[in-house]
Amino acid sequence: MDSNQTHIDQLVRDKFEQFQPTPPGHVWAGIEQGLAGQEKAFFVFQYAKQFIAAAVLVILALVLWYVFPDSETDQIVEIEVLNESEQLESESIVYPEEQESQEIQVETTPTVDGLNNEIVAEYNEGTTKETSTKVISSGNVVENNHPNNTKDQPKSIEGNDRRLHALPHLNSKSYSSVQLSETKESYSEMWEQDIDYLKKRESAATETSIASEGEIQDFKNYWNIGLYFTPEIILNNFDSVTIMNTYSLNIEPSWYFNKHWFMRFGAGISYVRDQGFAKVNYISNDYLGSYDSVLYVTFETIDNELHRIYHTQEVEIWDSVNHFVISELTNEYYFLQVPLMFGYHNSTDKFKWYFYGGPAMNISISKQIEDPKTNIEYIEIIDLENNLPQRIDYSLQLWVGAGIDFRIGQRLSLAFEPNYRYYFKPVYKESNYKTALSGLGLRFGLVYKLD
Amino acid sequence: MDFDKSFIKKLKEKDKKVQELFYQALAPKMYGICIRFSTNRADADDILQESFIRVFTHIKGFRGEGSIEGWVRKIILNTAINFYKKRIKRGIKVDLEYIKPGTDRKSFVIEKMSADELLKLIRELPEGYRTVFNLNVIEGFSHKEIGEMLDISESTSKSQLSRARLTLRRRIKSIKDSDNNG
Repeated sequence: MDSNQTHIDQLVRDKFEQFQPTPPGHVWAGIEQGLAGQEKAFFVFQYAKQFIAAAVLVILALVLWYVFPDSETDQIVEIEVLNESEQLESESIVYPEEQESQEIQVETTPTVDGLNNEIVAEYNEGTTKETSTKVISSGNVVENNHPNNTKDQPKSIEGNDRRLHALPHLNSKSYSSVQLSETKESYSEMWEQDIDYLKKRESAATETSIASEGEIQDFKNYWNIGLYFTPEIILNNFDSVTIMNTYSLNIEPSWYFNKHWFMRFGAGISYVRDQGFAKVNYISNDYLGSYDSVLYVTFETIDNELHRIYHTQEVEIWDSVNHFVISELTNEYYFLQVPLMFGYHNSTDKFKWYFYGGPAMNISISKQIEDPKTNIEYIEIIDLENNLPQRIDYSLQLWVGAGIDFRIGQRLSLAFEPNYRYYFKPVYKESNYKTALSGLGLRFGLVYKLD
Repeated sequence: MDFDKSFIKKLKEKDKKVQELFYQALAPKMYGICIRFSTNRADADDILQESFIRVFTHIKGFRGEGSIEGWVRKIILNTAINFYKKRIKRGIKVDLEYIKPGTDRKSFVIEKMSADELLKLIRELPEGYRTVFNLNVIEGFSHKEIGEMLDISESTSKSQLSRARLTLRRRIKSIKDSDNNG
């Protein structure tokens, strides 16, 4: 390649070095469209994870509810008795294995004095349920209200060859029930005790109902107060904004004004962080390198040969360079959180389950807005674009949740509550962020029952 | 043009706002390359669009060993080359009849020409010539590298460049002659 050609090539290169035409607008639109198609699959995957997490929580709650609807259900036989005089309808009964489990069908008309009742019992001998034998036995339903039993009033149903103790209580459907358990006590001793006791309490028998209506009437409303800690993830995605996990600490009294209904309110502090960035475009005078500039040339003869000697000086090259920098920003907010909830609850011996819903309000009490920075001195900022939106000072949310409250002491219990919050209005001031937020949280609570 | 690590990090997080800023900063320079490699603006638009989709999709593959501008430039070139290969597969032939012998080398004519005028000349070149000319003269790739990129032999690359130069000289001479006559 000759020097002239090289020169032409260099000219062509130089011509195109500064050739920077503006592309038409539809190119960027096409790029956005192309990227959106790829991101769709990503979002489906992301929301699938959240959906699975929510489904697991719901299933877990349902399983707990189903497995422990009443802690005594599978332990002791239940017979539903609507009232003392009504006929007792047949019901499947399961005995625990340690008490020689038997499945019994009872068709009887129990009365308080227990006279002239017939018990039809179908049960399996031993623990083998496949071979059932139907035994018809005559017996009495005897109120066995022993003096030493102060709360529950056990009853005995005697057949020809076995004895069942009945324990009235409220089952999960709020019907009065009778729990039967077979004992291995001496039948004669029990019988004597029953007869003695029956005589003493014969006159009062009608007053001590098998039905537990008294339990319903005796419900006393009460208060408890809970300290709740709630980490929460926000489900929305915004361009240029990463909403970090929210943490809340609340103190919320609850008023249980009904056997199944309660109201909860209170206040808490919610800590919220948003991460984003500002674009900073600046020009700085940068050192790009150096070269040796020839000042003059001298000739010297060394060993009878002529040599050129270049006298040079190092020249530094500095030039203005356009820099694009992202300045990471984090805005922090503290909100006062004021919820007002209404809920439904139900209890077993070991725990209480409930669900609730209601409005909650967040009111800003403090915020720290970070300013963009470059950490470089002596620069000329030619463009600064803060892309992190700021939050509005208040927001109203719909808050729904479910929970399980495990008793760990006489008055203390631990609560676990998965919940969901939906913000009625956008939380950001900027018009580009108008999507309403929603979040999933898991509350951990320490609850104290008040008098 | 320099993009710092925080900018690249945001690009890797696929932040749309940063993607747009990045596109706005680099698109004009890259569009110039696309135009040089294509016959018409529509093709240049397609190359630019496809290239930036690739850039944003594969940005996590950028390890930061060189400048990101150079990395994007490579993607633009690869896309342009793929575009060229597809056209060749579709049966668009290199017009050898376009070349006619005999012209002078007058570099001063090039000096007087604007980039747009020079671009017009380059875009009038047959596709194969234009691609090799762009890759060798402007982008600085060797004939061996060009051969590997375009799936042609090194000698084919050399001959196509030679013919491209010949064509350009002829066109420059005709422009000069028409200027002198006018």
